[in-house]
Amino acid sequence: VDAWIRAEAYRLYTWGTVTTLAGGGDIGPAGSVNKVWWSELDVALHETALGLLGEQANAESRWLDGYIFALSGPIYAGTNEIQRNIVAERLLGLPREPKGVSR
Amino acid sequence: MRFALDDEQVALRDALDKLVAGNREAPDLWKRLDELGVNDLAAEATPVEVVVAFEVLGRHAVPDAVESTAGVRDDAELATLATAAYLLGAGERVLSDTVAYAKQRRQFGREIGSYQAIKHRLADVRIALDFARPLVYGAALDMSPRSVSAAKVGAGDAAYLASRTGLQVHGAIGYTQELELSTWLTTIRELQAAHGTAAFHRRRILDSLLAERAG
Repeated sequence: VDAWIRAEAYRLYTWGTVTTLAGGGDIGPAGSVNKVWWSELDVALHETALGLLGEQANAESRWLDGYIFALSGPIYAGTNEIQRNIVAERLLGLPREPKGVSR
Repeated sequence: MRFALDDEQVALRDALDKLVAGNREAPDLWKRLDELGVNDLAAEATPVEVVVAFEVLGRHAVPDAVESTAGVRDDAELATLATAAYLLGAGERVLSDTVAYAKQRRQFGREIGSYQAIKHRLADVRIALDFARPLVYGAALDMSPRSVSAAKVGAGDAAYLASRTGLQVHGAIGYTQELELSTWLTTIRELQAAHGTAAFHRRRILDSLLAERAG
């Protein structure tokens, strides 16, 4: 049920994004909000499916392939930790972390 | 499909916001809200307007908002959705208060909001609220029991995450009566249980999905 709720939220959220973009607007750092959501949703959906498959989950299947690929979601296109920094700094306006000292 | 507030809805939101901000404790607030038509919302306004109004009320934690709106009480689904919108507003308020605190409070020589441990938690709240909002507004558009349940669960979870994170980021001062935070915590908890617990609504969603599947 939670997987369904999150997918439904994603569907409706996307309508909002499309409306903004179609109106000539720019979503800016909200893209980072979206990226964290869908990549974690993708993993959660596959985990749910594999959970339902029980012991059969270990056999080759579309769900297993999908799961392995979904695991890369929170990493590629800027890891979700980087995205959270963007959300915190650009949307919430929290102070940037001091730059590391180079040796 | 257009998925944004129209000018009239934005005007309603801004008018309410102006009225409520700073007047939260005013004894005649409900009278003035009544004059603005808030109590007639259920009878005359669209669900979207109810949601817009209650998100504003939630943001300012207008006391007894859900109980006081007589009209909404007649319609169980609309009252549930109004509660979800109120939760959304309350979550937004806790997040914004907490962000303000994290920018101000310094520890180990810098603002605590500059630490990733704090940033990432607050970013997760931003993300949760951003994805709860479409559930609430989407439910206002179709008003199906399933959508309303999803809105209530989504907004409740997001607001609760906001309140837990808010308390943790504030630290011990969040417990004290010097800040209102504790009031928000209990209000959010209370609203989560009001008009159907999360378990009830999850069950309703499951039943509806299964019924659809069975045809």
